[in-house]
Amino acid sequence: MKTPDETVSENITAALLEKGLVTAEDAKKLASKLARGEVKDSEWLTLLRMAVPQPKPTTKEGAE
Amino acid sequence: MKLRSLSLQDFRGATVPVVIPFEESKNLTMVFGENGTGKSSIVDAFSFVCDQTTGSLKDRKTADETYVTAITGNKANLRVKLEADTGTWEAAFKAKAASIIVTPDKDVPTVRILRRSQILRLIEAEPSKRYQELSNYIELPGVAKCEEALRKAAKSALEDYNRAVAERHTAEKNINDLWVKETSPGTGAEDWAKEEAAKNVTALAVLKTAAETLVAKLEELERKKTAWQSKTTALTTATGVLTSAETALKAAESASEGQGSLVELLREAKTFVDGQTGLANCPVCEKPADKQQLSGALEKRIKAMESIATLSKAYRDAQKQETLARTALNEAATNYVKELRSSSVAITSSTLEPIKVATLPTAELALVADVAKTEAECLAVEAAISGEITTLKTALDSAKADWAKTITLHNAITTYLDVLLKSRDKVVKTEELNRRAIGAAKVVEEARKQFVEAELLSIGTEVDRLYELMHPEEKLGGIQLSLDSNYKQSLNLTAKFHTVADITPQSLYSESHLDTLGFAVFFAMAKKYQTAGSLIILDDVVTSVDETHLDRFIKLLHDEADHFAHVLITTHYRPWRDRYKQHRAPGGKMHFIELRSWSMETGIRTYCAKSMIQELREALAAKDFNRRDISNLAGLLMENVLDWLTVRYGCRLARKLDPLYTLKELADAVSQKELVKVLRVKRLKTKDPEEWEETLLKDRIDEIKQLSAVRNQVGCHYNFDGSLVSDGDVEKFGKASLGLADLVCCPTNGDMPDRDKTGECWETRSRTVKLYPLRTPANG
Repeated sequence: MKTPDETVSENITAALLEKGLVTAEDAKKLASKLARGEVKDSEWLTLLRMAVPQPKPTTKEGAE
Repeated sequence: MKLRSLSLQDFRGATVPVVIPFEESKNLTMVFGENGTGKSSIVDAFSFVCDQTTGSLKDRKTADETYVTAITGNKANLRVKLEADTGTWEAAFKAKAASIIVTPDKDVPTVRILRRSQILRLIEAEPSKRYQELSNYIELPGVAKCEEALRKAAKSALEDYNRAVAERHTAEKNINDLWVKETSPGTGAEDWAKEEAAKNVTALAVLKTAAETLVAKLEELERKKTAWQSKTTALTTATGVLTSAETALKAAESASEGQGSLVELLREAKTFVDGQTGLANCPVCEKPADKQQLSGALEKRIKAMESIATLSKAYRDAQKQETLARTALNEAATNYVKELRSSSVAITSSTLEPIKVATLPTAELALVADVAKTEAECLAVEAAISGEITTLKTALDSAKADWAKTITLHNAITTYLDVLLKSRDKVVKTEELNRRAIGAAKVVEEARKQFVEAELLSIGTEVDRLYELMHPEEKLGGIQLSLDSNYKQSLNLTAKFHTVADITPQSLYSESHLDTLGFAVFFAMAKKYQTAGSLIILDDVVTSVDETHLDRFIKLLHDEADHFAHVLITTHYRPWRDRYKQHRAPGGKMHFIELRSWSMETGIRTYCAKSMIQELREALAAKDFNRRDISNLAGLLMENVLDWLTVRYGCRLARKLDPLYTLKELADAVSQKELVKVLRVKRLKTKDPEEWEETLLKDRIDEIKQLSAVRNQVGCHYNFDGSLVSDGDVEKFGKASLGLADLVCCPTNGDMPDRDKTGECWETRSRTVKLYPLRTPANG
């Protein structure tokens, strides 16, 4: 049976993922860490930075 | 999990070690004791092991927690041990510390303790304090911790963003200032800066370095020339001194008629004379002479000729100084000429603009550059070169400063432009990060609030259900718990009162209704968040309720107890304990522990309480036949059972101001013919196949009626008739009473049939004993 922390952490992770605030890769471990209270401020910043979309490389005309 | 025992040593009231045993087969325990018998010590012992706190002492702000150790005990010896079928845990204070350690520290049972003080606080507190009372249940410690960290991260992201904006502003201002200083060329400061930064200043740097090198060389040439000139002056001076010394010496010699050399001769003669002993004659003329007189005469002559000697020494010194000055001048000249040659080569080979445009003494430069020329030839033309060199150096310095300024400006523009572009990029990134941090904080907060709201809603529904069970058809309830959106961690509690909804219950509910409301809230919380090993302790939560509400409360407790591993009740409310003892509640499911009065010498004392049936059964089986006890116990038991039957069937009894009826009156009331001829009990004999045994109660009640006098004659009063009653009649009365009680009461739980589940009869909770009929048949 899930603890309340686990349940809410899963909801939070799903919402963050849906809003593009974390990457799918990070989301895998986030829920359990949230439930245990282990995500520190520096780690939040790293997670949020990782989720910032990188600028797409410009392609030359005609190139695939 | 099934509890086995709880051992206390030097803990609170346990001045003497005590073990509280639990019956593994029962998940309900009632600890009954009057005030000051040790109930709180037992409850606090659970807190000590399961929560590692001092329990009620911790909850009381003014309490001194050091008294968790028994007043006669030693903190180091304090031990609380909890034994269950799943393990044994022992708690003690850590050596020389206030912290509590449990061994082992894994899988320690979870305990929820509900104290009356909590109920009062919950009901009477302001919404914010009310939240605190329930925070243990509805808080999300893990998520809350991460949410706090996220807010810190968001704050940090905002600070980074503000810093980046400030950096960008400073860089823009610096570039603009430079642009304005350069008379605002082009269309704008940034475009100008980009153009300037794109320029290559490497060539200028090379020219600047070459100019610096050449200027350094010319400065060295100037130093060498100065040295040469200085040495020339020094030689001139030395030559003058020599000439003067020579002239003075010659003049002195001439004046002393050429006897300058005689001074030395006279010194040697005096030395000779002073060294002789026994000198009688002059060594030159051999005439008789006195040594003292002769030495004195020589001394006198020498002194007269000493000025010539001084001049002679000065002349010799001047000669030496002149020689040295000449040597130094030659060396300085050599150095100067050498520097002159190399400078000439450097100047003539330089391509620097100031040299190109200068009018150079090319012939003289060529001459000194020619190694075949002597120093003297070179020095002869040096004046022509050095004159131009000063002008040339000034021009080079000016050019060098211009180039340095251009390079410095370029570097500044490049640096500021770099800072500007980087800070712009940083602004974009930090702005995005800040936006995301705010978004994430909102997500976490909403999820947490949604959870808490949903939990409160679901708990509210359960609270309402529990409350309805305790107060059916009282037009109360409608309990709702909700977060106050205007405040952080503030909890509203509303209910209905007859036709009015959303009232604050404190305004209209009675005190006992508020008590049960608080109980319902905590119980619903504990039920929702219980785990497989959850214990719940109800510490003196019921103080004074009427009989009807007490029965409902007991019923609720038994209906809900199976949700927990164990329910422990402590109470000093005797009617509650008696409901079980008197078979008005399913005492068979309850383990009773009674506490005797406490003293420092005895500590906490426990004993197992017995039901009325148990007491009578044991009295009948005792080796020593006790007539009085058997009569008394049987009479009490029968009064209890018959009283219950008269209430159940609404039997007719004469009205009394104080409704206390005798055994005979009660038996007569039950014996009214419409009822007694159909009054019967069906008991389950076998489960599979289901087989029931039916017994009419008429004969049993008649037998009780016949023997009822025994109760007073033997069991209650002193009288002569009592002595006439035989032991056989006493035993018969006892056995008849026990037989009837055994028939009516559940063999497993001990309760009498009080549940109408089928509309046909009354049943016990176990449904193994059924009492017919449901209602007294109509007369006739």
